[in-house]
Amino acid sequence: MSRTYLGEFEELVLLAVALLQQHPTGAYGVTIADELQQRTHRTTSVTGVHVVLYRLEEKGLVGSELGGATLARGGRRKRLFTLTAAGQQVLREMRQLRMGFWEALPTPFFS
Amino acid sequence: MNKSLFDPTPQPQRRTSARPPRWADRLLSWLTPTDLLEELQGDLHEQFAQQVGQVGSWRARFWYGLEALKVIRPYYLRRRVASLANRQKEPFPKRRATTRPYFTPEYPSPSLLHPDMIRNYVKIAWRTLWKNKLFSLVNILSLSLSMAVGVILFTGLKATFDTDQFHPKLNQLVRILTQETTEGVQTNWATAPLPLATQLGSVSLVEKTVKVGLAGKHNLQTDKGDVPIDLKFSEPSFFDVFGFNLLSGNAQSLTNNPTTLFLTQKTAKKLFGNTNAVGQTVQFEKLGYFTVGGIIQDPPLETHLPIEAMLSIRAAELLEKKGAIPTSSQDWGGFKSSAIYARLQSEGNVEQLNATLQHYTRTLDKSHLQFLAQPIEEITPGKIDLKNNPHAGTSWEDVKTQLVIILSLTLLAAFNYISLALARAFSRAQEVGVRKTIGATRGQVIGQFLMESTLVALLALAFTVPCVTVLAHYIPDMDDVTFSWDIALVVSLITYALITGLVAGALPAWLLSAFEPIQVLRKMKNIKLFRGVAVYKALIVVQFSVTILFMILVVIVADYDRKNKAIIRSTVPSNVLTLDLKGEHYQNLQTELSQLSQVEKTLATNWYYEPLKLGKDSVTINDKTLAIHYVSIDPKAIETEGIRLLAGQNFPETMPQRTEQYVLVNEAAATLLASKSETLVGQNLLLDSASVQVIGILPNELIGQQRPLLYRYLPQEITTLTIKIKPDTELEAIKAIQSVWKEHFPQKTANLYNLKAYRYSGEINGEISGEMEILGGSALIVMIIAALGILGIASYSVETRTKELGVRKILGANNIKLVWIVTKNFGLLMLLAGLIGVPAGLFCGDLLRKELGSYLDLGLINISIGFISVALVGLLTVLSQTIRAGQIEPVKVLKAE
Repeated sequence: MSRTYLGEFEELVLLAVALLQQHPTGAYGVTIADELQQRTHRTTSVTGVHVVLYRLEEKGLVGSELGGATLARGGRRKRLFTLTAAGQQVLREMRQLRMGFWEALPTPFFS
Repeated sequence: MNKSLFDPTPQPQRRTSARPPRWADRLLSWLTPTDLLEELQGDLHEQFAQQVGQVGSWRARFWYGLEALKVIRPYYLRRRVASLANRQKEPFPKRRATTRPYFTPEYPSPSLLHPDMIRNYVKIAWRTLWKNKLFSLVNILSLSLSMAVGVILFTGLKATFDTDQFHPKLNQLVRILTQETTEGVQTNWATAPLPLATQLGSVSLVEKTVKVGLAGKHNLQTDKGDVPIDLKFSEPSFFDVFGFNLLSGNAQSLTNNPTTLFLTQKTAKKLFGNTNAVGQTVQFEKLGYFTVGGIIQDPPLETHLPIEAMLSIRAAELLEKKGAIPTSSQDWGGFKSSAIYARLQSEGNVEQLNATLQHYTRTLDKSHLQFLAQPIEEITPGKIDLKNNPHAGTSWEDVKTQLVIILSLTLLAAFNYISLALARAFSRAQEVGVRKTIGATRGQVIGQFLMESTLVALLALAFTVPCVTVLAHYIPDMDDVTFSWDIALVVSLITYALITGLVAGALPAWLLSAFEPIQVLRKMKNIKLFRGVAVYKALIVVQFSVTILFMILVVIVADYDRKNKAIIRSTVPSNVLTLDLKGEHYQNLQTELSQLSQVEKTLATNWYYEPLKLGKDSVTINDKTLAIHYVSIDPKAIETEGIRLLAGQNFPETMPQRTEQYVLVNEAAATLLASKSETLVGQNLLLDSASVQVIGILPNELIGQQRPLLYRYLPQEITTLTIKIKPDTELEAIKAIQSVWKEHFPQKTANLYNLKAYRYSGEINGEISGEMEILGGSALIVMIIAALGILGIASYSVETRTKELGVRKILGANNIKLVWIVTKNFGLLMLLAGLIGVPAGLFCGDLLRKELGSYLDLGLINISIGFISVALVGLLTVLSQTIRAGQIEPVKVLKAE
C-alpha cells in the first residue's frame, strides 16, 4: 500500500489540526495540546505535539505559516498549521478504512 | 511565507513571579534548533501564562522547567546538532534582545565572523580611528608604552627558549648530572666527575663524550692590570659535539699542545682590540704562559655553557700536578668543577642511558654518587633545582612569573583605553543607537568595538617593536640578550597585542553595546549612561597617585645620590693611588714605597677594595648583642684623609700587634649601641669574646656606606695600599711604584689605579646609578601614561561642554572663568591623588630609608617637589586642552540649537 503510515498520536494531532483550523484561534501548539488533553484526558506536552506536527509537515500532510504574536508569548510568533489536500485525503482514507471494519462487524457486538 | 506584522511589543511585565524561570529559557535556547525556537518558546510561554492563572505561579514555574527539559529528545537534538554543524560558529549566541530591531530583517543577519562582516568591522574601525586622530594617537601611545615592557619581557622569554638551540643534533645531546647523597640529604649537581667520561665512552649508546673542566675566573695579566677571564678546559670533541665554531686554529691542537689557548671573539677583542690575537702569548696569574692558538666564534644564541677562554684537558692535568688548580681530572670527589656532555647514537636513548648509568653508581668516603642524563634542551628553562648550574638562566618558575607580569601589564595598559572609551561613551551612544535600529545585533556592535581596540593594540605593537629593538642597545642587560626573530615570536607578540586589545576593549564594548536605541536616540541628555560614571575619575586618581608615589621616590633618591656624590667629590682627593696587595705582606713594600721621593704617605686598609670586604661580628654592650659589620683600617688612614672624629680620638701611634684593644665606630653604629652616642667613648664592648674599648666615633660618610660599622685594626685583613703622592707627580710616581712592585713580586702585575679616576669615575662624571635609572624610567613611563590618559579625557570634557560654555560666554563669563570651570574638576582629582599618593610615597620612602640609611631626606621640600612636579605636569596637560574653552565662539557652537 502506498498510503502514508500514521501512528495513533499522529492521527489524533492531524484530526485536531483539521478541527482547530476552523476556529478563530487557529491550530498551533498550545491549542492542539489543549484540545487533545480535553478529549483524551492524557497529559500532552507542547514539545511532543510540536515534534509530531513537524513530522506531519515533513510528510506533507500539514502546511504552516508564522504569525499572531501576542503579549503572553513575549512577542513571539506562533506557527499556525493548516491541513493540506494530502492531509485531508489521508484522514478520509483512514475513516473509510475504519468504517469498512465496523460495517463488517456483526451487530450483536454492540449490545 | 508571509511576513506577518506585529507591533514592537513592549516588554512583558518584569515581575519575576509571572515570568518563566530564566534557566529554563536559557536551556531552551541552547537545545532547540534556532528556526524552531521562536514558536516553541512562544507556545510554552503562552501555556505558562495559562498555568499561572490555573495553578499559581510557583507551580507554573516548576511545570515550565519540566517542560523545557522535555526538549531533550532525539528529534530536537538531532536537528540542533545538525544546524550547529551547518552554521559557522557564532561566538555570541543571539540572545533574546532586550530591544527588538525596529523592523525584522528579511534575511537573517550574517554570522559575526563572516569574512564580509570582519572586513566591514575593520573598515569602520579604521574610519573611526582616523576620524578621532587625537584619541587614537593617545590610545596608541599609551598602549605602546606599557606594551614596550611586555615586548622586552617577551624577547627575554624568547632568548630563554632559544638557549642552546644552535647545537647540531640537539636531540641527541645530554649532560650528565650527579646526584649526591650525604647523610640522607640529596643534592643534584649539574656537574659530574671526569673519570666517568672515560667509562661512558665505552657504552655503546654513547657516540661521543666531551669533558669540560670549569676552572672559574683567573686573572690574566696585562699591562693595564688584571683582567679576570673565565677559563674552561676541554678536548677537541667539544667543537664536534657543540655548535661552537673555530674561526681560526685547529681543534686538534688542544690535544697536541698543552699551552694552547682558545679565545672567543669577544674575549680576544677585550684583550687585544682589533689586532690579531692568534700567536700572542698571555700570562695567567699562578697558571703560567699560554699562546693563543685559535679564535672561537661567538655563539649566535644564548648558551648555558658560555665560553671566554679554553685550555686543553692536558693543561688541566699538568696544572693539577703543579698544584695551581684543585684536582678533578682523576678524582671522583672533584665532580663539582667539571662537567660531562655526551652525544647519543640516536634520539630516544636517554631512558636507556639512564638505566645504564645506574651501574656506574659510586660511593665515596661520606657520600654516594648517582648519575643521570639530562637532555640539553631541558637545561633552559630548567625544571629541576640544580647546583653548579650558573648559566642555565631562567627556570620554568621564572617563566611563569614573567607571564604573570606581562598579563598585569596588559591590564595596566588597558586602563587608559577603558577610561577614554568610557569618557567618550556619549558620542558613541548615538552610533550604537543607529546601528541597532538598522538591525545590528548586540554581538555585532561588540564585535565592532573589539575590532577598534584590537586595531589600536596592533598599531601600538607596530609602533613599539621598532622602538624596543632600537632602545635595546641602550638598556643595560638587554644588548647581549640574543634571540632570533621567527614565526613563534611574531605570533606570540601578535597574540599579546590581540589579548591586550580584547582586554582593553571588553568592558567599553560590553557597556556601550547595551544602549537601547529608543533611549539613546530620543534624548541624549537625560540618559544615565552607566551606573558608575565615576569610573574614569577613579582611574585618573589611581594613575596619578601611583605617579606621585614614584615621583616622590625618584626625588628623594636623586637627592640622596646628589648628596653622596658631593661628599665623594669633596672628600676623595685626586692625588691618591691604590695598589692591590694580592694577598702579599705589605710591611716591606710599604716602607720602601714611603721612601720614594714622589710619595707623601702610604697607608694600608681594606677600604677601597671592591667588593668592600665586610666582616661581621657580634657586639655585646650592656647585655645587648648586635651583629655589626667591620672594616679593618690602618691607624694612619684617618690622619691622612683628614677625617675629623666626632668624639674621642684616633688609634694610638703604637698599636699592640697581637691583641686588639681599641675600636672605632661610626655614627650609625654608635646610635645603635648607645642612646647618647657621646657616652659610648671609653666604654668597653665585647667583640665576639674579646673585650675592647671604644676609643672614638667617626662620621658616617667615610666610605659612602651609611650602615653601622666598626673600624678595627686587623693587619692580616688589609688588602690595599693607599698611596698619597705629591701633587703633579702622578706619572713618575706610577713608574716608580711599579718598579718597586716588580722587585718584590716579579710574578704578579701591579694593579695600580688613581683612586678618584678609577673607583669613583662614575659618581664624579654624574653617571646615573642603576636603581636611579630603573626608578626614574618607571616613573617617567607611569607619568606619561597618566598624562596621556588625562589628556584625552580633558579634551573630551571640553568637547562635550561646548554648548554650556557657549551659553556661559553669552551670559558674560570671561575666558579665564571658562577655562577655570573646565579645569577645576581636574585640579580636584589631582589633589585627591595627592592625598593618596603622598602618604604612600612617605611610606615607601620610609621603607627605603631603612634600606639605605638615615641620609634619605623625607622632608617637606622633597615631598613637595615630587607632588608639585606631577601635579604641574598633569595640570599643564589638562590646560593644553581646556585652554580651548576660552576660545569658544558662541555663534559657532550654538548655531544649530
